[in-house]
Amino acid sequence: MPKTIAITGNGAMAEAMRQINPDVVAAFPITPSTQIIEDFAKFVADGKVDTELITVESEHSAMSACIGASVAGGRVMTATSSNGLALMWEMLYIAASMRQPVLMTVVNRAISAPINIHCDHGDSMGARDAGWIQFYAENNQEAYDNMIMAPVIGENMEVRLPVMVCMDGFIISHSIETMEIEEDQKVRDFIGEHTALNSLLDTDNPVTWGALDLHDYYIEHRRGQQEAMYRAKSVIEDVSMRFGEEFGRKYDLFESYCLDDADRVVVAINSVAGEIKEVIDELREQGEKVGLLKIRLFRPFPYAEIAQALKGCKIVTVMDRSTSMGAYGPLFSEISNALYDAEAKPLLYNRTYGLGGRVMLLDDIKDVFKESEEYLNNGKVEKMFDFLNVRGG
Amino acid sequence: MSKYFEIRWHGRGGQGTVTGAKSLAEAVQGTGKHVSAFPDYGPERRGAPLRAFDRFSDEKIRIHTPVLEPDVVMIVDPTLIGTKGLLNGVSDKTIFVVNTEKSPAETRKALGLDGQTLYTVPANSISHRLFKREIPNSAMMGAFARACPDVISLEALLEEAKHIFSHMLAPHLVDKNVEAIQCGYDEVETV
Repeated sequence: MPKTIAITGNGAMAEAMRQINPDVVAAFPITPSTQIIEDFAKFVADGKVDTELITVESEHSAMSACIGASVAGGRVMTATSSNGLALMWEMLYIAASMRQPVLMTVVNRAISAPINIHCDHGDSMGARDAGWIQFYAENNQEAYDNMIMAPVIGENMEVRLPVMVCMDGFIISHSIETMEIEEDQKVRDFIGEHTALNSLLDTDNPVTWGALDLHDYYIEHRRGQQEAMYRAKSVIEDVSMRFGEEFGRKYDLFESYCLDDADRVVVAINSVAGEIKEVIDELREQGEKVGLLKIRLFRPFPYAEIAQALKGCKIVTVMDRSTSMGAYGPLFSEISNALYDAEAKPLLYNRTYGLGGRVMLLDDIKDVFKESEEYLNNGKVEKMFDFLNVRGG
Repeated sequence: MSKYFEIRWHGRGGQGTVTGAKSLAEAVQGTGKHVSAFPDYGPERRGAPLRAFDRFSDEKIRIHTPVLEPDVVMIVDPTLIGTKGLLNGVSDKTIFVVNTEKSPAETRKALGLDGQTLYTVPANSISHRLFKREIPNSAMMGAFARACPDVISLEALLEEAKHIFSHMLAPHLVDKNVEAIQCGYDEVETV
């Protein structure tokens, strides 16, 4: 039987790590992800896991140690946020290109400057091209569930890629919420034993990792990575289905909420989806045909499936909690790409919200739907790009 | 009535207000409800005013927004009385639970309440008596059970609290905090 408990998002991720019981964890503390490693260090000290915990001097070293331990044949995990993820930048690409299924929680936090500890998605969105599979989660349950699925997906021989599980800093990481923690043994059975692949420590079968790779092969290796990403999608579908059968919580590549007959749709990521669902329920009671498409998997991006899901809707508001300076938001760009081939294209526009932790109240979400109603009635989009809830707006 | 039961705590950094909000949520969770609890994060400084929130429901809780229209306002620090924001979003039905040595009549006047139900509890005195220092949160939890027995009974709170505190405190402090809950419950005054 699963245990129903009230726990913070960080606590839930530490529980997932305890159940996964990785060979190595290398980490450097940064708000708001710190508690994950604090809790996990306690599990190590109490002998509840067999993990070698390496407390390094920076996030760059954390990811370097993760890669080293992974090529040595271990199952490896870490956690970080914001500038910590930015400092890992170089090593993120190396983990992915060396096809090491390192697992990482990213507790989303705004990137400096100015310094800010609160939530937005600028950190993980900045790493979207690094070659990691990226999951996003609305609440602590989804973050935990994604992390339980992560090793099964990343270590699959069709995939062999690192996996990042993202959740909102403070809003989820530091809030207690009711959720279910599955039984240790059931989780371990679901994940299965880790098998080392071409281990650096297997001296009977010596291998080289991180070799020079110039114009003769580099592009083939990059293509291989891209193909692994494409294959990951169906592996994720399979693992998610198996997870649903085992634990009863069903996950698709993205979540459709009241989408089937919706005229006006919002596309969003992470915790704000909860607020949007709440408002949708209220507007639906008043007969408004509104819906939500919530992103779960951002890399690989499920273009065709999303285009199919948005078929028939008349207007789409894409809400980005990060900026791509000089361009539309990262999520908007993908949705726009997904809809390029659609037969009947909906009206489409981009709103940026919540940077540095700016709160979106339910009334703010209602305003989003009010605006989309106006646009739809007028048959045109007034402003393609705008910030929500800002001074001088 | 909203499908959520919502509490707003007002305290100062270092008094255990956030822990109080979270422990109360865990206790209510133990009775089979869905809960959420979270602070209003700013710079965390000892002595600075802070807010924390609880939401309880029979259904899954989806929203993460600060509590704007509280069913209960918990004032953990008496020196906050007279400061701004304590009455934001309150209605006639909002219940106030206040840590103060003053009488309910005086407190009602100081807060500028109309017809709202008010409970006072000398949580600082209780805390000094039991802990020789000022951590009023457990006594406030006891006072909450007195004010809102439909949300959690004293018996259930004591039972859950033993369990919750045992995860974070040494055994003798578990007993003391459970005692503080009982004292908080017993020493509530109202008008």
